[in-house]
Amino acid sequence: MLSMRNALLGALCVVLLPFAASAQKITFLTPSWGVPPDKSLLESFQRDSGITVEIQSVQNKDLFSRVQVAAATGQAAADVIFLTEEAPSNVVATNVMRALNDLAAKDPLEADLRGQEFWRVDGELYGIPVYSQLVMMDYNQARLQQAGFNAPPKTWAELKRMAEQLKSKGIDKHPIAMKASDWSWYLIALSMGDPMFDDELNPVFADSGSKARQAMSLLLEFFSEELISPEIVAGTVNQHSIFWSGSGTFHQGWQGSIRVGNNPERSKQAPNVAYMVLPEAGNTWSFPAAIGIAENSKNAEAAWKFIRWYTGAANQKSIYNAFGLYPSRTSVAAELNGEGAIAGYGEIVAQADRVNELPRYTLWWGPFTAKVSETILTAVQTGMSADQTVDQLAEIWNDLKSEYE
Amino acid sequence: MGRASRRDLLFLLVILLPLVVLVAALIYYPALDTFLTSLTNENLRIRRPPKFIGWSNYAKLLGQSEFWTVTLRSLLVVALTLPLELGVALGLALLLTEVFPGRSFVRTLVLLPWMLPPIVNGFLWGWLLNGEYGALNGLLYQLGWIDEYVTWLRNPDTQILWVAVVQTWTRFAFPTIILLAGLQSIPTDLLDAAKVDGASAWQNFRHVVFPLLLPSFAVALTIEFIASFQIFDVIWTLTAGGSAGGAINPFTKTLMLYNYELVFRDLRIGLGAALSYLILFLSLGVAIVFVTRLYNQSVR
Repeated sequence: MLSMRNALLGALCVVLLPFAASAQKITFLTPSWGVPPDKSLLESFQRDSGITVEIQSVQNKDLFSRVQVAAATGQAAADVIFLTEEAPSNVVATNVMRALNDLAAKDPLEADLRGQEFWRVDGELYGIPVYSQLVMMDYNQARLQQAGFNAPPKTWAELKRMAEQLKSKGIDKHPIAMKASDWSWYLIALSMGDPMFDDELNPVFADSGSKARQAMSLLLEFFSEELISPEIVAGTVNQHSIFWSGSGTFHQGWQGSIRVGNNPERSKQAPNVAYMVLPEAGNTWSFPAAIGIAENSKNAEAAWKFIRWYTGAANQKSIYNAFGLYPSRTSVAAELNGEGAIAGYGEIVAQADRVNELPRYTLWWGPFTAKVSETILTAVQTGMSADQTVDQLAEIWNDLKSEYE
Repeated sequence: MGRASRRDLLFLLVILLPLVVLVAALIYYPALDTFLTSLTNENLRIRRPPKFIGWSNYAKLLGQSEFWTVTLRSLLVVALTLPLELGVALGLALLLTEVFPGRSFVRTLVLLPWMLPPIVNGFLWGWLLNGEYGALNGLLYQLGWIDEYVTWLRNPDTQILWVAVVQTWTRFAFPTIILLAGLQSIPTDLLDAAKVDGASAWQNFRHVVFPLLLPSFAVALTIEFIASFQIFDVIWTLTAGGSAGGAINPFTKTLMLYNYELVFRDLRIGLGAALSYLILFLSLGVAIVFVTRLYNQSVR
């Protein structure tokens, strides 16, 4: 009996040995929305490739410091790193990501994978695009019509007037869903036509009479007149959750946000949300995401296989369906559009023509943009004037620039 | 020295050596390394070999208004939290020392907030205090105590106040246990003697219980001072914000959050290490005062 059991165990070992030898484990560090939404797809990748993927989901702000601290000690925080919108300054510019040119040379990327240039620095490719993004605005059409307006605003002053009407008529107590943060100011300033920085990275946003100063003034008025919910200032909610919970008519969204806004399971604004092309000059900036390999990863080949699967059509489609994040593959976007899954395609295309990139690859962009949010919050809470706020931001920029240059 | 005592010494060394090595490797070496780092300009954002800059980081911090602002704010949190926390703890300890049905259950219940991680407490209170759909507003509205929902965390002053409340909620169980242990160690014959002498309950507490409780009180005060002075999790989850760029709410930024900002967000390792030492010295200074003034005095 015993010898038979030993024989069975031995046979089992012989059968399993090749699998054990080929099994490889990689780690993937990502914010929550980078976790592959379709578990069965991931399982089939693991089964087919023999690569086990350990996913470490962390807060976006902790992701950068983990990567940096690990790199400083010669380690990789994880083999594969999800590169979010602030990654260019915080991770790529600080040289802690591996250049992918050699891997892409062996396994060329398909032509329909858009946005590769964004992740290329001095000819080296650091990230494979996962989704394309623009900061956009959407709004509740029904609520606007209820206030007597048939079209979205063409200027920021008009938007403010509409918001005041919505509030005074009791239709919407807090008609604007924006945060007391960097993005709100960039959005209004760029949309008004301010370039923010010149070619030498001087902060032209602080020029006398600049549109960025007007933008700051307008943003602070939104808060002082409580056109934006004070709960945003309290910090317990963000602009998205408050809008989807039903408060707000104008919402700072993104390319794909109406997919969530019009989902009745996730939003009380459904089915009335539509994009609006940004007012005035209408410029915005892009914040694409990518996926790359940590500089000190010892599993680059396996990591590359995972990246190729991750940026493949099936996973991109499932990411769009789960989060409304617009696929970087043109073929997937076309397929989704053909299926009628991409709502507001016309506005997305129109908005994509008006992009004024912010200098996000500068080494000091990360600390600067965090300070922008803190300074705006201070101005909202203390009543600091728009001019003082902008002057303070220019001073912060110049100090950081001289320190890092 | 006899053979027996030499053997004892050898045994002692064998027993102690692993501990000494562990403590040195896990505490003293990192502490020394942090101190040496504090004397450099190390910044992980810039890939350059760190340069020795002497006491410049300390001078820079001490010369900055931000350092003093966050230090004063940390002390404000302590000033708000400690009386509240120790008051609640003392009251509960006095209550739980009495004999009543279900005492064991209540004692276990008191431990509950302490058993929850501070992060959970922070989120929990964040939801309770939410101005749009928070439970506190719901309750007060139902009771007719408020006419419309209140944004409890809107104002910077109330933010700090709520931080103190949540920190009290998170921590009160620990001083309660210390004080309860202290109360139970007071000889009952002393209390009986005071009663026989005609002392009222207040006189009993004021002249017998409290003086004998002072050593426990000093221990609780010192530990809770350090916990409040180095508060992080509760503020992080309740009011610190958390936008993509890692912005920190400037109105509830205390020393530990400032330290996080310097080390983990801005990656200014040298400056952050110097701040860590300043926090250590400040904590140590106050702890020494508490111990020498309260503990030693009461023990004497």
